[in-house]
Amino acid sequence: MGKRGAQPDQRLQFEQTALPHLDALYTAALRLVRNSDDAKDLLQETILRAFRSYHQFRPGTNCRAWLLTILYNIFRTAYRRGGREQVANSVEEFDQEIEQLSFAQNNRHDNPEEVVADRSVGRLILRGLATLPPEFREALLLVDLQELNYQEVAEVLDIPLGTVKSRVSRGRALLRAALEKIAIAHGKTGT
Amino acid sequence: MNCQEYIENFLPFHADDELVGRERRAADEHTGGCVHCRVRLAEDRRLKALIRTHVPMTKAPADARLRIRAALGEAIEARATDRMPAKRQGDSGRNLYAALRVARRDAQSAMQRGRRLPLSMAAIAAVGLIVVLLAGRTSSTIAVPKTAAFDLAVQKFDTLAQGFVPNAAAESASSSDGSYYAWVMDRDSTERPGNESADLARSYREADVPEQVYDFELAGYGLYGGRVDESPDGRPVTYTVYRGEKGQILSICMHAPDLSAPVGARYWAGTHTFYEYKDHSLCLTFHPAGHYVSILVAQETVADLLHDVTVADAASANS
Repeated sequence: MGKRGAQPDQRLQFEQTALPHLDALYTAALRLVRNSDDAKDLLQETILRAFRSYHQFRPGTNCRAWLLTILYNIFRTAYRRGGREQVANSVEEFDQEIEQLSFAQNNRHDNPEEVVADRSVGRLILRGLATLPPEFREALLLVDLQELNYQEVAEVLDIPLGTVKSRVSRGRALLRAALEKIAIAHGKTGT
Repeated sequence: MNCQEYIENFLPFHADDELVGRERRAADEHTGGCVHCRVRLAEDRRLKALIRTHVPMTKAPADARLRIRAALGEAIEARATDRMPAKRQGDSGRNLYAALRVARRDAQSAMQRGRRLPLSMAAIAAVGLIVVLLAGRTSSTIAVPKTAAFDLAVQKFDTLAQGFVPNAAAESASSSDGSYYAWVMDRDSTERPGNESADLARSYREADVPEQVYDFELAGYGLYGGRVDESPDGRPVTYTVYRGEKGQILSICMHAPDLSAPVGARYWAGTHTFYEYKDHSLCLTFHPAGHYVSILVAQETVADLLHDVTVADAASANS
C-alpha cells in the first residue's frame, strides 16, 4: 500500500473500508458548506485524498474518524481560504433541514402516529441544536451523531482534548436548557 | 469527590463512556451515592441517545456516489500509468472546486442583477475567465475508453445538428392522437416566445422523457428547438439544440440503464461529468429516476462547456 502501481484489489479494500461512511461524511459536509453542490465536491475530494493516503490509515482504528479528519482539513484549508467561512446555521436554515430530515425519518415507521411522534421529537432536538453556538454543536454532533470518541474529535477539529470535553459538556448543558425552553413554549413540559 | 468536581471534570467523560480504571470507579462511586449527579448523568445520556436517534444522517446522493466511483477508477489508472502526480491532481482539483463555487455564486448574483438591470455580460465573462484559467490547470491524461453512447452523441451532433428540424410539440400545437408535431418558432422575429423552454419541457414530459431544457442564455446560446424520436428499443429519445455566436450545443436525453460514467473525465460539477471525446466536448448527466441520461455535445472547449453548464444551472436555480 502506498507504492505506485496500485492494484484494483487495493481499490476494493479501500472501497469496502471507506465507502460505508459516505452518508456520515456527506452529512458532515452539508453542515459545513451549507449547499449540496459544495458538499458533493467536498465529499469527493475527501474520498480521493483518503484513497491517495490510504497507506497512512491504521487498520483497527476508526475509519470514519480518519475520513472526517481529512474532510475537515480540506474544509479548513481550501474552503475557508476561498472566502467561505463556516456559516452558523440560522434557525430558519435549521427549519428547512428539519423538514428534509424529518421526511427522511418518516421512512422508519409505518404507523402514522409513530411518524408524528418521531417527527415532533426530531424537530425539538434540531431546534434545540440550532440555538447552540456552532463550536458546541459541532463537538456534540461529532460525539453523539458521528459516534467519535473525544480523542478522535480533538483530531478532527484540531483542538486540545480538554477543549473537546468542555465543548461537549457546555453544549449538552445549553441543549438541555434550550429544550426545556422550547418544550415550555410548546406547552409540552413532559417531553 | 464532590458534586462540583464530578460535574466539571467527570460528567461528560462519564456520559460518553470515556472513563476507565480508577477514574471510572470513582465516578461510579460518586453517582452511586448522589442522586443529583445520578440524574444529571442519566439526563446527559438521554440527550445523547435522542440526538443519535432523531438526527438522521443525510444520504449521499446517487450522482455523488457515481462520481466518486468514477474518480477512484481514474485515480487507480493514474497511479498505474504514473502519469498524474497525486499532489498536483489534488491541488488543481481544489482550485477547480473553488472556481466552480465562484462561478455558481457570481452567476446567481448576475441573475439577480438581471432582474433589475440589463444583464451584466462583463460579470459572466469574468466568471468564464476564472473557470477557464483555473480549470486549464487540471489535465487528465487518461483517454476516455470507447463508449457507445458517446459515439452516438457525437455522430448525432455532426449530422442531426447540422440540419436540425425541430418536431417536439409545444402543448398548444399538440394533437389528441399523440403524434409529435413540428414545434415551430419564428426565428426572424425579434420577440422571443416567452415560455418556449417551459413548452418544450412540457412536451418532453408528455413523451415520458426527463424534461431537461437548459437555460444557456447567459452563456450566449438560445434555445433553437427540440425533437422527440424513438430509439431502437422503442423508448423516446429527445434532441435539443441551442445555438449562438459560439456555435451550437446538442443535448440528447435517452434511456441508458447500462451506462456508467467512463473514466477519463476532465471535470465534475454538480451532477455533471465532462469529457473530451473525439474532438468534441461532452457533458454527461444522470437523471435520478428511470435510467435516463443526458449528453450535451459541443465543439467549444470542455472548460467552456463546464462554464456554460455551470452558468445554466445557476440560471435555472434562480428562475
